[in-house]
Amino acid sequence: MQPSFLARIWTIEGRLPLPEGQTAQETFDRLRPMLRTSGTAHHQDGDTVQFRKTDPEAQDPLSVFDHGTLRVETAGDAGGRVLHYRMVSRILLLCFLAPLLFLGFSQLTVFVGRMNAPTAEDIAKAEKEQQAKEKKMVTPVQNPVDKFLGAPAPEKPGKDKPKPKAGQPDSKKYSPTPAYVFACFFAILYVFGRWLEARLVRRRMARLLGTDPAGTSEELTALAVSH
Amino acid sequence: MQGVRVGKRMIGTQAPVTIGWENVPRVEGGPVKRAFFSWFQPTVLFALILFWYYAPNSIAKASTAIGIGIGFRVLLLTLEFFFPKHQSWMITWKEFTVDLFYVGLGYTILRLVDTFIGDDVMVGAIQGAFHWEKFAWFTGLPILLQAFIISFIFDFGQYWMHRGMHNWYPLWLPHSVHHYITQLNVHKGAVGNPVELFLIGLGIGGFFDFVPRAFLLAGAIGMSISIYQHINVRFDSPRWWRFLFNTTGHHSLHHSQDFEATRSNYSNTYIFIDRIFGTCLDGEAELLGMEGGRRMSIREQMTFPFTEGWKSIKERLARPASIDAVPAE
Repeated sequence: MQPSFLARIWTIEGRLPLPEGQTAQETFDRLRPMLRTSGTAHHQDGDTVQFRKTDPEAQDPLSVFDHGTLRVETAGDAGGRVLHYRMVSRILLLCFLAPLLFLGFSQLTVFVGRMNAPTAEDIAKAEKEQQAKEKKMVTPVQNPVDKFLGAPAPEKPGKDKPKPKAGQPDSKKYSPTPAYVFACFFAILYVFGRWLEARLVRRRMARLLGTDPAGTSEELTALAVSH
Repeated sequence: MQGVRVGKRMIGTQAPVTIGWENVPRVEGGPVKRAFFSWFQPTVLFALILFWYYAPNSIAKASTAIGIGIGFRVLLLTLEFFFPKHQSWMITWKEFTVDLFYVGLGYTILRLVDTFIGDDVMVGAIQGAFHWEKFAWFTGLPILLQAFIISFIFDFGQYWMHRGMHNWYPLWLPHSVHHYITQLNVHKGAVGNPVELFLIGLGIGGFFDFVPRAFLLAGAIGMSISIYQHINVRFDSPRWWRFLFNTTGHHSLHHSQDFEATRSNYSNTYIFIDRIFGTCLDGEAELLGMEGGRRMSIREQMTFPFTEGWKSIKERLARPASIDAVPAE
């Protein structure tokens, strides 16, 4: 059954044509090295293999997936056989939702900024404290070595600092910009990852099954266990 | 495994490690490539020192430092994609995404929490202190010396905090999850429990643009040395660099699956601090992590310190108090 439109966010599904005459057992024997990785449990029932992963290794070719099903089926009226794969990825779903999380952080930042916006009394108090501090402040004297080497002279801080306004949050301290930027990063990462991982897993399986002419026998072995 | 004797310790009895610079592989390739990976690190360090030394006051700000940091990380990500040190540490989509999640937490929600737990006070004190008369003896020193002193004091504190994290259980709990990483990549430094980040982090973001120049220099020196701790690139660092500064090799030993090797190389920037206190190991390791290399999920990274802490408390409370038996008369 085709995954629903929503489920395609986190489900990768496809069909790979199998070589003429290749049985289900031969197919799974070729794919088994890909499933024999740390944290992977798999079970074969006739022409179906189900696998489940727990804490897969970073270099595991199927590390993105949490569980999946591989089934050898007859392909329509032509009589050929196909490998039908359907794999579920929690990390893809989380990446899809991550922009919402970071947008939430951005709004939380804005909210906290508004709650902490200084009142007129706060600003007056801060100005008095600043004036008292400034009496103790001196502009640092530049060391003669630094002067000789041409380094810029130090200056007192705060001369360009914008004066706070009552009721206005500190726009730098409570800036939502980083959260917006990360929301964008994860949106882009999701689109790229959804395309890339679907392509990679298809290509890996095609090479193991011998249906991708680009794969050599050494590559097949290397692809099976990518360490 | 037999292991290698280093001082009083046997290193590499539980997992393979390489001890001694003479045993560490060199960069392979033509003369240009070898020269690039030999001199990249010192060149970047000196370029950044020159930049911050001569930058006009109008651009000598935290925002500039953050921009440079981001740009530099992008460059390093590119380097590690095209010139990986170990194939077993190759960056994948999943690893990059998860790492970036932790980085994103640091730039957003953790930064917000920091403003409530005293970051403000610390930042204000630092900004103010540089203009107090009683610190004039320090601020009158050559600025490079000020920068070195600041970065050394910071790294000295980091060394002892990190060493404490590996020796005292309550500090080990939040730090332990960081040691479940199984490979080193540019953003792996951010992977860990937020509690640990509160313990070690005074974020530069808290300065909101005015930073004393000496601090900017100290930050640049720190970044251009310590950033190589978590990276999948092989550098043929000059001998003096490896003697003074922390390298990828040093930090990979600290992250290795060999327990004794992890009790080494605690500093962030100046490996000579480890040399002074006898905790330095020169070399490298490829097999990293804990529990035989089990990769920890984000969920477990967030909860492990608390669940393990709770388990330990229950065990401690369940243990009967020892009673000195007195024979009945």
